[in-house]
Amino acid sequence: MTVDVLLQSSVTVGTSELQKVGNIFLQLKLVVRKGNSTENVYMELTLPQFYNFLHEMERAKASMDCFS
Amino acid sequence: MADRTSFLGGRIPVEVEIMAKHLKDLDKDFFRKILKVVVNAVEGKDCRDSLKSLADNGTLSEEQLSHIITGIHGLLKEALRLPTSSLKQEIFKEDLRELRISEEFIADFASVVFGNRRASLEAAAVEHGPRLPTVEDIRWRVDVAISTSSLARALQPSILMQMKLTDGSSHRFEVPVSKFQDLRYNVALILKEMNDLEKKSILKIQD
Repeated sequence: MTVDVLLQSSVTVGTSELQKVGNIFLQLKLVVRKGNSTENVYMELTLPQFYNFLHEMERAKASMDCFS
Repeated sequence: MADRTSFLGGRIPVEVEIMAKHLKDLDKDFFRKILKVVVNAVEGKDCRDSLKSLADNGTLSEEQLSHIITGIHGLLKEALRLPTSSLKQEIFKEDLRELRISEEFIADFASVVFGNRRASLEAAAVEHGPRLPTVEDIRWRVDVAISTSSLARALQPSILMQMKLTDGSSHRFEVPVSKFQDLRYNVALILKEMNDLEKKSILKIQD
């Protein structure tokens, strides 16, 4: 069960890889309860992935609103 | 009789004595095949297929073959442990003559221990020693957080690092800028210590 959701938007300003610097991405941290303890799940999303995620969350919210 | 102990030690290992007995009636080409497989195994290569083909050859029983392989392996391991400055080729050959091994086989053993394959055998020995997994790859990224759940304008730089180890595990972590300065300082300190160590003569001992 997800206990907490934390979001952070960042931009890459330097890297050891040959990638474009200036890449914008979002970091998502989910705090999940597993039995008695909690586990942190870290994810990185590109902007399109984040918009997808947002879309799915809004769909879920809309479905839940239908039943309440 | 020589007044020094053999390079194999005060007591010759049992597997080497048994191998020496079996070598008396062994065909030279077959011996060379076995030697090649054992040398590959010492280097760390996978020898299951070549071992199977040796066993299927049929001229020796499985028991005899395993005695010979064990003996050759034990002999090579002992010889390779000693640096070439300590164990000279002539002494090595003399010690093998004491075991009543024939001259041809002694020449083959000597070409493995003192030939050009020695460097790669020593490198394999260092790698297969007791060691923790080593760093295979390091990647880094410098990110600036624009906004977070708790701060609308965070604008904090942070360093993200990913280390891949030789055992396949991957570690991803963030390094705050102050800790990164610590890391840089310690890396410079380690390099300086290593440089100083190389100059010390204790690492150049030869017996």
